[in-house]
Amino acid sequence: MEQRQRIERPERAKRRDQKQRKRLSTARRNAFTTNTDIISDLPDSLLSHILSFLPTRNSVATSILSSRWRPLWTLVPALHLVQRKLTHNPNYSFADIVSGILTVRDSISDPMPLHKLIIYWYQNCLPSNVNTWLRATNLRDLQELDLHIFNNVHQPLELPRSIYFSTTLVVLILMASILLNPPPACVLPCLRILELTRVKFANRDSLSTFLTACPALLSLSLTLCGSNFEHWDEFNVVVLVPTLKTLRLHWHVQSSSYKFQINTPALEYFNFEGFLNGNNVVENLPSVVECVLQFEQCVLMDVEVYAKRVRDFMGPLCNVISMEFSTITAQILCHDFNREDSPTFYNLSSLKLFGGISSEWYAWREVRLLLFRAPKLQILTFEWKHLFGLSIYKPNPCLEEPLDVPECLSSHLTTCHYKGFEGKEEEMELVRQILEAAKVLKSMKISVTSCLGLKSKLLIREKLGKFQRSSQNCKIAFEEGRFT
Amino acid sequence: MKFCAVKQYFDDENNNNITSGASTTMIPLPNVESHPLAILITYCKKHLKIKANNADNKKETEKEMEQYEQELLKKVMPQELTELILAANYLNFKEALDFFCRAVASAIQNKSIEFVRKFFGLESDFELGEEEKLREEFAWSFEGVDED
Repeated sequence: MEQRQRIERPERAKRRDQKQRKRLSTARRNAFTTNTDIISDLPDSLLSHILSFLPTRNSVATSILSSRWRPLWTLVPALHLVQRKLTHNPNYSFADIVSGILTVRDSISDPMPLHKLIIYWYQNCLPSNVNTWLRATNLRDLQELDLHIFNNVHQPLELPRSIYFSTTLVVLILMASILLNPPPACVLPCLRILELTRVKFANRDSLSTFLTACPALLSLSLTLCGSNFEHWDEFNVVVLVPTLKTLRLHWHVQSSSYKFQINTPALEYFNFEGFLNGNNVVENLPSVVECVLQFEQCVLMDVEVYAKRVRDFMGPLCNVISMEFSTITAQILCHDFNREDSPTFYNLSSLKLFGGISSEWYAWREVRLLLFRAPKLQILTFEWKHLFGLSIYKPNPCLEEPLDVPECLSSHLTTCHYKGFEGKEEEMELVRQILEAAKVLKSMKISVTSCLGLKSKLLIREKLGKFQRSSQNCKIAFEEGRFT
Repeated sequence: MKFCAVKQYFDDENNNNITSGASTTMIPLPNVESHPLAILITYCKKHLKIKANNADNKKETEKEMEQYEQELLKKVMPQELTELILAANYLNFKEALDFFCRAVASAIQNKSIEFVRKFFGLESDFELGEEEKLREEFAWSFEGVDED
């Protein structure tokens, strides 16, 4: 049996090649063009599937290929209408282009229902036009709606009422000049992902009404600034969503009149950026595994009071496994840190500090303090990133080596990564101290910023190689990168 | 089971309790040529292998898969892409279908209509003046394309 198969294979291959050549030559004989038609065998559904991977301007342009191709782009159930991507030519108005597209789509008998609609309008935006387009389009099967509407002059866009009762919507992303005005009985049973960035609210109950209407919500991103609700005396942002797994709250609200309240028992990922000036409440976060914290520095009160707020905020997060925070956060947190009410992170396995990490931001002193509170830490990362804001402390890079060594440094730390290394004295000292203290360190990775000259990079490698390592297995690795 | 069209054969077997070693059931695939089928099988095996090697690291899986896909595309002729798309569609193999469709889309992205016609082997069958009307209607979409 097997022997016969071995003999048959080359014969079969020969026959297959002959068949293929015959097919191609037949096609060539039949074709009117000098090129073989390689595409018309595909059914309309597969041709429109190909078109669904093209940017809208290319997809619409295929209508001119042949009469068969003329309506194919309208079969794609998604429309990406992004002003900057449709055309760079200022002679064409975005409003005219979109109206043209929607008119053609609507003129097709039995049009393909839209699943995904994206409209980004930045310049000369007229929300009333978007209003007309939304109301003229069949949104009954819509699964994803993504609107970025930038205008400071006209009234914000109001969503059509049907959106608030959609039984198919899964993703809703709204940015800027859009008014959220949910009717009291609204319900969105399928909504999983909600992003609201600097939107306007019709009244002080609008946000809570909307959140209550989403029983299956998994991910929420809220970016709010003072002007979202400055015409109310007090406004509480209440996030009480039992299904929520991911929360990003960017609270760029300085005034203490406004507060937020978070109670999300299923939350696993929490990203907070902003001020803590109101009496905010954060509770019931037993499952948070990963958090990213970027507190803005305190401007309205004493540092002690603010630092206590930060510590109270972090209390419910003390079970996290992975944490990232900014250099300002580290400085605030370490203000008077060794009090009894400072949280200890028993499960913390990975810690990243991001921001300006050298010179006046030198936060190694603070990080060392924090390491005392993270006894099982295995991975420590420093990442240079440009952040706005000023350091709350005067520059004082204390290079003296303290006597106490945090427990995690000597017995748990296996990996250290420094991204954005410039070879400054305080950075070298930081690496030296870690190498000296970390007895089970396996990997020290230094990502040097690529704007350094070749000579400087070689010098850094040489110097670092000479540092004493208390871990026999420790490898030092170098790479380059750009850090902004 | 990536080849969803084939799945039903395996389900039936389990119901019949075939216990002896490798199955000997022949699965008829009348709409798939052997050449694209071979490529799809290799693609599928590679995909599963990469996924198994990088079980926890999703980023690594994506990176390795991308590298493999780039290499694969260098060896495939445009006319073979159509066969692969039809085969992947028949076998209900979603990842491969999306990959090869995306490959065709990349080949014609931001290219002039003349280039696309040549690439696909298409001829215009419009009435006189119809094409000019379309060119005017969607003038904004024909500008700024790459040089041929």
